Amino acid sequence: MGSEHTTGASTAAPTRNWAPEPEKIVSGLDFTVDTDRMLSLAIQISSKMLESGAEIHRVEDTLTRICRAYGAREVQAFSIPSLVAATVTMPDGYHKTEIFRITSISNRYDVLENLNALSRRICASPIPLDVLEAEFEKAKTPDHRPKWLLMLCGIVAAAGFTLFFGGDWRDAIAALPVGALLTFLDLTKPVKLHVLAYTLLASVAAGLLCILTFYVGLACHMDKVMIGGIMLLIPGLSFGASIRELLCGDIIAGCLRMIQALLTAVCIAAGFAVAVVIGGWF
Amino acid sequence: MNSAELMEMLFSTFAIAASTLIYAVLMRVKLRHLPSIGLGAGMTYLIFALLNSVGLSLLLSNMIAAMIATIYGEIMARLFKAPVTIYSLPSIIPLVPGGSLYYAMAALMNGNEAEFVSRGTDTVMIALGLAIGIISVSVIGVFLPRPGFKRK
Repeated sequence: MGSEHTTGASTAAPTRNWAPEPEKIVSGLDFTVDTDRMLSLAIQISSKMLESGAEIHRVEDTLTRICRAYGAREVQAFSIPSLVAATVTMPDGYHKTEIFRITSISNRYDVLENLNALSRRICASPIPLDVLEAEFEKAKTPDHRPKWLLMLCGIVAAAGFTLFFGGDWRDAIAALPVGALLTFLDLTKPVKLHVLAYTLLASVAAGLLCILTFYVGLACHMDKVMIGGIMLLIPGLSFGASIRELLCGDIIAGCLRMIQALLTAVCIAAGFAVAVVIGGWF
Repeated sequence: MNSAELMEMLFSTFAIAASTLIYAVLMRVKLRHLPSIGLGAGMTYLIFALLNSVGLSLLLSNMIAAMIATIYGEIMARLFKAPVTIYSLPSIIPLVPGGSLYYAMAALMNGNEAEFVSRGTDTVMIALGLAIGIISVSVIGVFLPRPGFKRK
C-alpha cells in the first residue's frame, strides 16, 4: 500500500492522487478520485455481490463499469467463485492491481439487490468516494428479518415441500421439526465447517430426525418427510446456474460451480443414506 | 384427465407456490418481490404438470417449463429493476429433482439396482432439462439491453 506503487511504462512519476483534468473529466465528475481507494471500493462492492449470490458475469461487469465511471482508461476484471481481481489503468498511466479472496457464498438477495441498485446509480452519475463508502456500508447491511420469522419460514417450507411431494397432513406435521432443525443449523452454524462437510452433517442430522418421527408414529411416509428436508438443502446446488456461466464464457467459474453442485448433491444423498443405515440398526 | 387428478394438480400447485414463497423469505428476497415469485413458481409447476400429463417426456416437459420460468424471471427482473438471479433461482425450485434424488439414493441403499438406474436416470434427465431450458433463454437474456445501465 501507500507510496511503493508501480509506475506505468516510461512516464514520469505519476501522482498517486489522480485529479481529473478538465478534458478527461467524465460527465459530472467534479471531484478528485484517489485511484487506490476507488479500486478498493469497487472491488469490495463487487466481492460483496459475489458473496451474496451474484453471477460471475454480473460481478465482472459491475467492477468494470464502476471503474470506467470513475475515469479509468482500462479495466481488467477477473472473477471466479473464490476470487475477485482487477487491474485499472488511469489516463495518466498509473495502474494498480487488487485481489479479493471470497471464502463463503450464501444467498443474501436483499444485499445483492441493494448493491445492484447502488452500482447502477453510481455508473449513471459517480458520487464522491466518501459518499460511496457510506452508501456501501448502508447497502451491505441486510434488511432486518427477526430470527424467529426465518425459523418459522423454514419450518413451514419443509411442511409445504412434504405436502407437494405427496405426503399427507401427518407427514407435514412430522416435517415441522426437521425444518426447524435445518433452519436452526443454517442460521446459527454452530460448528465452523466448510459448505460440503456442513451439508453432509446437516443431512445426517435431518435424516435421523425423520426416522425418529417415523418410529414415534407421527409420520406415515418416511420418504416424503425426508424429501421435505432435502428440498431445504438443495437450492444450495445451482446446477443450472453453473451451466449458464459455462455458456456465458466463464468456463472456470462454471466448472467450479458445477463441481460444487455435484458434490453437494452427493453429500446430501450420502448424509441421508448414512441416517438410513444408522436407523436400520434399531 | 379426471377431476380428481385436476384437483390434485391444483393442490400441488398451491402447495409449491406457498412453499417457494416462504423459502424465498429464507433467501432474504425483498418483500416486494414475494408475490411475483410465488406466482412464478405456481405457474412453472402447472406448466410442467400439464405438459407431463399430456404425455411429454420428463426431459421435454422440464425443459419447456424451465424456459418459461426463465423468460418470466427475465421479464420480472427488468420490470422490478432487480438482478435476474432473484427470480430465476426461486422459480426453478418446483422442478428441482429432490424427490427422484432421494428415491435413487434409497434404491441404492436397498440394493435395488434396476430402481436405482431408473430413478438416477430421471434425476439426470430432469437436471439436464432444467439446464437446457435455463441456458437457452438466459444466454440470450444476458445480451439483451437492460434498462438503467447505459451502454458505453
